[in-house]
Amino acid sequence: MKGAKIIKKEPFITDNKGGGLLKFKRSQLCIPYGLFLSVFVIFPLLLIIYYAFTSKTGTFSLSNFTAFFTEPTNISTLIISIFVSFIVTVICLLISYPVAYILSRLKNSNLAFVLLLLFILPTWLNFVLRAMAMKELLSFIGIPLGSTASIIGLVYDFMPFMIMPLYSTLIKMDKSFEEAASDLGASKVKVFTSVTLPLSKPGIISGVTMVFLPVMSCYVITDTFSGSTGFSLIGKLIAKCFLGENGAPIQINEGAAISLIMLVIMVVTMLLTGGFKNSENARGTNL
Amino acid sequence: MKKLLIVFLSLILASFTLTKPENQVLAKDNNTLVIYSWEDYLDLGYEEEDLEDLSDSLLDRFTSDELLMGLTDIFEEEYGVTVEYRTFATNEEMYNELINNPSGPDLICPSEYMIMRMKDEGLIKPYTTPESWQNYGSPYIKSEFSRLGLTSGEDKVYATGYMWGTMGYIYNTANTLPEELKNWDSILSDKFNQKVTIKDSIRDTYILAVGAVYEEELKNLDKNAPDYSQKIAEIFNRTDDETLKKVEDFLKTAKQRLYGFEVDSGKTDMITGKIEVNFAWSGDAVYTIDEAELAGLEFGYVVPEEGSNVWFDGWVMPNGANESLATKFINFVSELNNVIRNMEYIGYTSCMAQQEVFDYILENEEEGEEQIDLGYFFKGANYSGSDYKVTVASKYGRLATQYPDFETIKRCTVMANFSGETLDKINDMWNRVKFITFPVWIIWTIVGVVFLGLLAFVLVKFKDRIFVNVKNRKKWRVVKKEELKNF
Repeated sequence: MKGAKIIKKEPFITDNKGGGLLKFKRSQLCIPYGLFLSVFVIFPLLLIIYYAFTSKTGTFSLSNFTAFFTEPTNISTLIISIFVSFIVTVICLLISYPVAYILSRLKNSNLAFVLLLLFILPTWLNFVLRAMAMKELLSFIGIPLGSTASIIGLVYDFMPFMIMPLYSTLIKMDKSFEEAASDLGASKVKVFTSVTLPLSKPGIISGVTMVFLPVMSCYVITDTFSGSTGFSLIGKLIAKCFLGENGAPIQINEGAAISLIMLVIMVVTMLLTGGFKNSENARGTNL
Repeated sequence: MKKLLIVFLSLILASFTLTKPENQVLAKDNNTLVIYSWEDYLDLGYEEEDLEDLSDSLLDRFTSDELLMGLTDIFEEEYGVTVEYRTFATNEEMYNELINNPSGPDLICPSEYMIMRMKDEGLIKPYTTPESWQNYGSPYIKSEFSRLGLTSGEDKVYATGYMWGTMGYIYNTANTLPEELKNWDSILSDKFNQKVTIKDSIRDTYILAVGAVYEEELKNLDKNAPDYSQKIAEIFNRTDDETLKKVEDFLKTAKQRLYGFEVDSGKTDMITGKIEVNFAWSGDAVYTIDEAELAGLEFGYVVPEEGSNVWFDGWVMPNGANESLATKFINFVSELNNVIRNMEYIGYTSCMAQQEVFDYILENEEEGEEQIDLGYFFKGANYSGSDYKVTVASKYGRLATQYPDFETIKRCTVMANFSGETLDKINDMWNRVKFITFPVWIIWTIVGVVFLGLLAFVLVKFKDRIFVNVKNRKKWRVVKKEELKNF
């Protein structure tokens, strides 16, 4: 701590003469990001709050919120979104955990690297393109568009976001804990349930947040896969409010209100999962 | 820290002022023409490798150098101005942009209902009728425009036509006969189960649904009665609660038997064979028929018997428009050569009716038995001569799609601009169709279960704090007192 304080007082980067243009304080280095943050995060957030609490004419009103909560369609979509997010998260977790576990325990690190790359590689391609390719693939296999296809598409698209945090937690885990447990007579199952699983909790939480929240507001993927009978998520509702369609009005205020409701849900979820805590184990895996 | 805070706040303030529309139009000057239009709605020039695939109509009229240049480039060169061509996905997006920036564009190309809304809201101004429209605009479309109130006085108009068309079903002639699609609700037949897409846009889909719901009434109308067109317009523009309920029920039933809702993927899905029928605008139908031909397929387009929608896209000028420059552009795209270029490029049908346009149609005349009568388009609905008859291979083929027969046009009507409460009602109805909606009691049950679950969770998790153990508290007090005494 002492050392840190001294550095803080000293110019962080200086030229030899101890002055001039290159003299920065640490806090000053935040300015570029501060600018970015205020223009692209804080300002839009203020705009959303402004629009959410005003009517079309610009006067203060709560009508956007009452309209949302009194329309069964909106509430149903919200419920469906949470439910679908839950299902997708559970499927992703069930598939990803064994994969991440096996990858992290592979002795041959080159093989592990190649396998991991195979899982991560698709994320480098835009997800809209992947969704389009997946649609063709599904019709080739013979799975019709609809709810099942949507769930498959969502799981496919969000799986890497589950594997990565799990893998990075599991690979960093101190293996001597497991060794100690089995030395003391714990069966393999017991080692896993009482040592490995609890220790990988930060990775699970971070993976869950990275899948659960984005799935709710996803709309391109469900648009591609849902056909006419599948479900639409709340993201589609927001998109429709802001983009409109030929003949349907653009409802910026309503859209802002739904976005704000989503934001509240996200913050609550983060609080529940402890996403804001910066615990030692979670470092680097949390958002 | 204080300094940082000041920087933050001033930045936020600065960004507020930056969003004021005044600052956005500073760059505009008298030599820049700003156009708001649609994607792929103007010939913006061909690529070198496309040239050999072009039709003779184009290759005979233009040199390859001309074809490589877009129409905006040619206009820029001819008049020494800069053209800024911005495209939008929906009329509503265009409208919002205009509201945010009323003096931004000089020329906009919205659909007829949006033109009527913009006119009602005073967002566009009447302008002196451009020469080209005055002399060569199709009499049929001109009369429709004046019926819709888009003219102002003797020599001024709110809008001049650009492209127009109908709505109907595209089908694959190898698997389907046009008779199998003669009604709007034919798409519900078992043959087309899960093989149809309709538009993901309520305005268009509403026509289909109304046509299906009032099928009997529409069929029973006397086609030769003088008020036939008024009657058909009245039925297609019904928005009372009963109609909305019927439309909702129809669309919910149809939804179970459709492949999906789309606005752009239908064309590809038709060609790849994923679907058999696509509800489409006639211009998209022409485009799809052409694409299908390249893939060795033969597609047709049918406008159902009950009647359909006829739509127009037209040029309008917002209040802050540079009228003289905008008029020059309207005249420019209405020149015969440019009309043909645009039609070849985008597949839609121009509203211009020069005699040479008919010659161009004759160049595309198909071999066959059937004839279509285009006199109404070139000379007006009362024309009874036979100078504008064209031979086509089929009344459902490419040419009849691009230039519908008078018989077809008679049963087509323009849809009104829905606004205010009606629009909200239709939109809510559409949301109920598109999004899965639970009955209210299910919602309350779910909300109740979640609430009880949360309550139980909180009670269990914080039971030590909520239910204070009285025994323990007493003990604790006793101990403390004793301690104090001892102390």
